[in-house]
Amino acid sequence: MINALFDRIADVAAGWVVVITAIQLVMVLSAIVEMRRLRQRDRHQVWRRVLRSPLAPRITVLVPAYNEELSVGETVTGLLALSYPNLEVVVINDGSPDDTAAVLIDRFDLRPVHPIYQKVIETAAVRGIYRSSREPRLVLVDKFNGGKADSLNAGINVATGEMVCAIDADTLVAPDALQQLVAPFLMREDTVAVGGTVRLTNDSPVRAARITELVVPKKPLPALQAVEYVRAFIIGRLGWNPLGGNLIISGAFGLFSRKAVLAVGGYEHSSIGEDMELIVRLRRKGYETGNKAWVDFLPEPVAWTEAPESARVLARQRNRWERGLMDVLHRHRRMILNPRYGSAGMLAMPFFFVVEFLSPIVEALSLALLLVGLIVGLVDPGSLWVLGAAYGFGTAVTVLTLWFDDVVFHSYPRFSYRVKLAAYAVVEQVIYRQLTIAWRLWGIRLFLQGRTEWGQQVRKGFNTS
Amino acid sequence: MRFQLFLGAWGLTGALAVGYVVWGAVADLAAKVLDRRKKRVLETLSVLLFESEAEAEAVHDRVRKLPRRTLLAVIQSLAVDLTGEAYERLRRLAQASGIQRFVVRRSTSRRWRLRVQAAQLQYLVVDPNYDRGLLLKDRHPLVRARAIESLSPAEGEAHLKQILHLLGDPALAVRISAQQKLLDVGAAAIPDLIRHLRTNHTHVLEVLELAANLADPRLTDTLDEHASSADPAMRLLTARALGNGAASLVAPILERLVGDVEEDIRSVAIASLGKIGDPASATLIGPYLSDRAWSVRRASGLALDQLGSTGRLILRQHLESPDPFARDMARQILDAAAQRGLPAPPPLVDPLGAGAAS
Repeated sequence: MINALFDRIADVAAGWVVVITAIQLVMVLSAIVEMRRLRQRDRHQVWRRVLRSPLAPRITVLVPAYNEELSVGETVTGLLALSYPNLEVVVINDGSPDDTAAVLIDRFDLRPVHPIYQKVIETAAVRGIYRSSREPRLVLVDKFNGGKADSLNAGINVATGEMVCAIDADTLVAPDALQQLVAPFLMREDTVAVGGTVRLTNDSPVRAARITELVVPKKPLPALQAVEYVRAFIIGRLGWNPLGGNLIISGAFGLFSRKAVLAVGGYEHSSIGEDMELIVRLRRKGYETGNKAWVDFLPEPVAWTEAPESARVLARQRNRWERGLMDVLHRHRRMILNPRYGSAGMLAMPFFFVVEFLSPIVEALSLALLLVGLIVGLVDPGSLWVLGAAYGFGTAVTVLTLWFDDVVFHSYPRFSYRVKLAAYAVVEQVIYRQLTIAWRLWGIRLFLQGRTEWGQQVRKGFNTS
Repeated sequence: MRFQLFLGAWGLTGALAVGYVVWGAVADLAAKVLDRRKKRVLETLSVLLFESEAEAEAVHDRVRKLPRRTLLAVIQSLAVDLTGEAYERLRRLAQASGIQRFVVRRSTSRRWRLRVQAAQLQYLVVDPNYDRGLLLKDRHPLVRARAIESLSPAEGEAHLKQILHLLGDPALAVRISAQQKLLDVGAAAIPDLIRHLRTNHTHVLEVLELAANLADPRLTDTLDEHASSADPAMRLLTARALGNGAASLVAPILERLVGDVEEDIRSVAIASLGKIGDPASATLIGPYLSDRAWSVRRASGLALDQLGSTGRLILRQHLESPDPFARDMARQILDAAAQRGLPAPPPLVDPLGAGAAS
C-alpha cells in the first residue's frame, strides 16, 4: 500500500508539471492571438507622427535610485535622449550611502532649489531638490531612505506629467519606448497602466546608453534568466491581454496615469511587491467604483535591465518576488474567485494563486517525497520517466516561446545564440526550475516570519567598453 | 509506455529546438534578401522622386512594374512629409501603378485595419471625386486619427470645420491629431479658431492649447474671459497664449494672472510677460523672485533677463535681497547672462563678512 502511495506521488508530480505546462500553453496561444492583433496595428506606424507633436501628453519618468552610482548616469543620459517631445525626468535618491547623488550632481551640473511641492502622498522627508542649469527637464529629489515605493511616491508628488513612468535606475530604455507605451492611453480613456517587455543587458555592448547588439549572456545564470524572461513576458504578460488585462507591470519599466495612481494613494509603502500591488489595487478600485481600469501590455522590447549574476543575489531577488506575490495575494484575497472583480477575480488572481504560489509548494513536496521513496526503495524508478516526460513538455513550451519571440522580434538574430538558448531551455527546466522552487520556498518561509527587507543588490554596471 | 511518453516529450522538444534554430537561420537569410530588395526598391524610388526629369522617366516603368506589396511597404515606410515635385511624382506613380485604386477601395473596407492603411496612404489619391472627409468620420478612432494626419496643410484647410469638430473627439489620439493638424494649417485656421472661442463653449481647452502654440496675436483678443475661468487649466493655457499678444492689450490680463493661487499659472504668466518684453513689467515681476515656488522664482529670473537692462537691474538689486532664494536665483540668472557676454554681476559677498568669494 505504501508502495502504491509513493508511486502515486510520482504521478502527482508529473501531473502537476503537465497541468502547469498546459496552462502555459494556453497562455502562449493567447499571446499568439494578441500578437497578431498588435502587429497589424503597429504595421501602420499609427502613432509615430502624433507623438512627435509638442501637444503629446507630458510624461514624467521616475527613477528611484539606491546605491546606483555605477549605472545611474548612463540611465539618465539615455532617458534624456528619448525621442519624446514632452518629457521630464525625476531621479529620487533614496538616501543612498554611495555616491549616487554626487554622480548626478557632477554629471548634470545640478543645483539645489527650494524643496517646495505639493505632498499629496505621505513620504519620508525630502532633504533637497536639485535642478540642472544645463538640462531643465531633469530633477533630482534627495530624500531619506524609505524604500522603493516611498521613492516612487516622492517622485509622483514632484512630477508635473499627466503620466508617470516608473523605471529602475539600472534600466536602459529604447529610444521610442515612451512613444510606444503612451499609445494605449491615446486609444482607451480607461487605460491606467501600460507595461512593455524587458530584456537583459548582461554582456550586451552599450554605447551612449543604448544597447548596440543584444547578446546571450556568457555566464549560465544570466543566460538562463534570458530564457526565463522571454517565456515570462510572452506567457505571463502578453497572454493576459485578451483574457482581460494584466496584473503585473514590470517595476523596471511601466507607464501609469498619474491621476489614477494619486486616486489610489500611490504605491503601498508596506508592500514588498509594490509594482504588482499597485496594479491590483488600480484594477480593484476600478471594479469597485465602476470606472473600468484597463492595464495593457505591449510585447515590443522597450527596456533592458541587468540580471543578477551570482546565485546568492538571484536567490534574494526570487525570494523577494515570492514574498511580494504572497503579500499581494493576501492583501487582495477577497478578489480571488469573486465575480465582482471580473476577469481579474475569476481568472488572473486564481492563476497567480495556483501557478505562481501553489506550484512551488506542490512541486517541491512531490519531488522531496519522490526522492525519499527512491532512497528507501518504495518508488519504482520507472515512474521517473513520467516526471522526465513532464519536464520535456515544459521545455517544449519554452522552446516554442523562444521561437515565437524570434519570429516576431528577431531578438537574438544569430545561429549561435539560438543554439545556446535552446540548450539553456533544457537546463532551465531540469536544474534552474528546481533551484527557483527552493528560493521561492525560502521566500514563503520569510513571508510567514513577517520579513519584508529587500536584501542588498549588487550591480556590475553596463558593458560600455 | 512510460519510457515512450518520455521519449515522445523530449522528441517533441528536440524537433521544436531544431525547427527554431533552422527556421531562425532561414529567416536571417530571408531578412537579408528582403532588406537588399527593399534597399534596391528604395534606391530606384529615390531616383524617381528626387533626380532629374529624364532620370526619373527612365526608371518610371521599372518602379511601376515592381510587386505592389514591396512597393507599398517601401512607400509606407517613407515619411509622408514629401512636398513639391517629389510629392507630385509619387502621386503620379500611385496613379500609374494602381495604388490609388487600391487606396480608394480600402477606404470603404469593412475591416478597420485596411481602412487605417487607406487613411495613411490617402495623401497619394489625386482623384477629385475622392472624399477625404469620409475617413475623418470613420467609426474607428485609429482611422480618424490617421486620416487627419495624412491631410496636407491645404487639405486640412479645406476640412477645417470637421477637424475643429474632432477636437472634441472621445479618443485622445484623435484630439491630438486634430490639434497638430490645425498647428500645421497655421494662420489660415486662426479666423475659425477665433470664431470658435467666441461662440462655442465645447473643447475650449484644446483650442486654448492651440492658441498658445500658434503664437498668433489675433487670438489674444478673445482670451480675456478665459483668464477669469474657474478652471486652472484654462487660466494656465490662457496665460501661455497671452504671451503671443501685444503688450498694451495683454499686459493688464497677465498682471492679474501673476497673482494667481496656482504656482504653474504664476510661472506661465510671468514667462509670458517676459516674452512680450515690456520693461514696465519688471517691477511687477521682481518680488516673485522670492515666491515660495521654485518654478515661479525661475520664471521670474528668466523673464527679468528677457526684459533687458531694466530687468537685469532688478536682478542686481536682488543680489542683496534678505531672501537667500531670491539672491540665489538672481545670481544664477546673472551668471548665465555673463556667459553670453553681458556684464558680470558683482562678486558674491560673504553674508558673515569674512570676505568675498568667487
